[in-house]
Amino acid sequence: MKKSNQLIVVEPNRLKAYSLDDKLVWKVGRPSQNNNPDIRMHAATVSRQQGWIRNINGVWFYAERKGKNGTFRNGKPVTCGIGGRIKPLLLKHGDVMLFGAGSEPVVDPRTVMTVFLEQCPEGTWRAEGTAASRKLLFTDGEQSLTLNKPAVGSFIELEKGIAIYMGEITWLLGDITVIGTL
Amino acid sequence: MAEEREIKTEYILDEIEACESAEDLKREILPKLRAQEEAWEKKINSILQEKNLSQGRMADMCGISRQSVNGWCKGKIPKNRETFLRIGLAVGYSEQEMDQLLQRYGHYSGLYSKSMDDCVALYVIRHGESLSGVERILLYDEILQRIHEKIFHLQAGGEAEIITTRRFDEALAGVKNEAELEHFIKENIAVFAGAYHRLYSYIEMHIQSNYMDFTDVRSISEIAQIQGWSSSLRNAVSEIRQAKWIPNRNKIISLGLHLCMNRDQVDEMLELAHMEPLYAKNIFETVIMFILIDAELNDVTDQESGYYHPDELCDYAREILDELGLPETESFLSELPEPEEEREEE
Repeated sequence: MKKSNQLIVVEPNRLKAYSLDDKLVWKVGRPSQNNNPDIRMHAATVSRQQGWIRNINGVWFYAERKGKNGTFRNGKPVTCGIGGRIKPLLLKHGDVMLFGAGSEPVVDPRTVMTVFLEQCPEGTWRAEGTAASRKLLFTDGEQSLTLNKPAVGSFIELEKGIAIYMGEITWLLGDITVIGTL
Repeated sequence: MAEEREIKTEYILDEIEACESAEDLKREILPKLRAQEEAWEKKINSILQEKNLSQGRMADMCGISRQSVNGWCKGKIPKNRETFLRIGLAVGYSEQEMDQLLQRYGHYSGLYSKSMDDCVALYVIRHGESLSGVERILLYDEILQRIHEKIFHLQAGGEAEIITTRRFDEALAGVKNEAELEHFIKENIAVFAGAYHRLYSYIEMHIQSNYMDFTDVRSISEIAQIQGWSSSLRNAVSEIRQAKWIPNRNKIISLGLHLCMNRDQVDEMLELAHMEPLYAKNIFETVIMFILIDAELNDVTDQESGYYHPDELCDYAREILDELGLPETESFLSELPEPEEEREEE
């Protein structure tokens, strides 16, 4: 695994990895004619100026104003603080965020999912078809993990590889394979 | 009887959230929370009896007044974690007994080797078995003093190389004498400084997000001046920015109020300081939880002025604490800025 702070942005049939260490502040939002955010989320339910990711002394945070846009972190809603104050979230390795959701943290084609990583395997992300699989076996040759009907948007991490299960496809990075069975 | 008294923390939390006023809190909830105080009263009295210590002797060893120890013997719980550490050292507790004292009676985290104070305490516990209580405390104070003079100015910036707490514990266990301890601390100064690195960054991020526009950065002292921050807040923030502030529990709570943080945020700061979240069975912390929950639910801050004033929540907290008039919360009032009208007169 290499040490590298990354934000993996997963949209329908699309994944992009942003290497956060390149700068200190990243604006997050939906691109439009007059809006060119650093981290681009194409869902209509995401605001043009959704929020920002910022580094303070080597620690990464996500913050957004108002907190009413259906953002979730690890299944819990992102809210504002007292009197509408911004409530920055200290990001930890493996934090899964969901943008553009309504009142429930449900991953669907209208939402955008992200995973924050402090380290990750070398290599390029690849997609494996896992539609119609009820049981999934993830393995890196040494460790194995079997999941029965995992929730869409599950993040899986083994010693040598990581995976993001999105239902129809599963994204894989590193020395990891997925075998789906009915 | 024990079952009747054992009230689940979750139940108390629900009750706090249902309180509509400080009066409700005082009448309905606080009387139920005496169990922790009773347990502490029993514990400290048995410690004094078993070790054949007078209240005066214990007070001298812990560096506090005899009145404070007298208060403990009537159920008043020590205000900070360091006092529990000193009690444990004074009576010659083992590591396990010290952890139990900290966790069960103080609701603090157990001994944590990456905290400078705890690191030295661990050394004294392991190597001070043949010493008297007074000698153990003297040794603890002396080592800490020496370290602060000789080593602590060697501040390491940023976050330390990652070493698990377990490996750090193992390395500390190998230290045989004071010279090796000093060497160990010097070699690992970045780990100690880094133990609170994320806490410092969390606080700084909150300040920058809410009290400064980070696209047009001005100095914190300039902001403090314009917004009329209290001197206690300015001092704490200044020390935080220099990574010199070693947090204690009440200071963290105080800072959370000063910066208008909500309950989740105060709990997160406590976690980042390697402490337990706000504890609903402690009277003082129950009151703090009520203040934070009520402030958020009822939006007690000024929405109309167009900018955030960091002392808003402190003013509200003072109002509630004054209304309750509890001895458990009295000393905390000095943590808060003077009431608004008195600040304006100045």
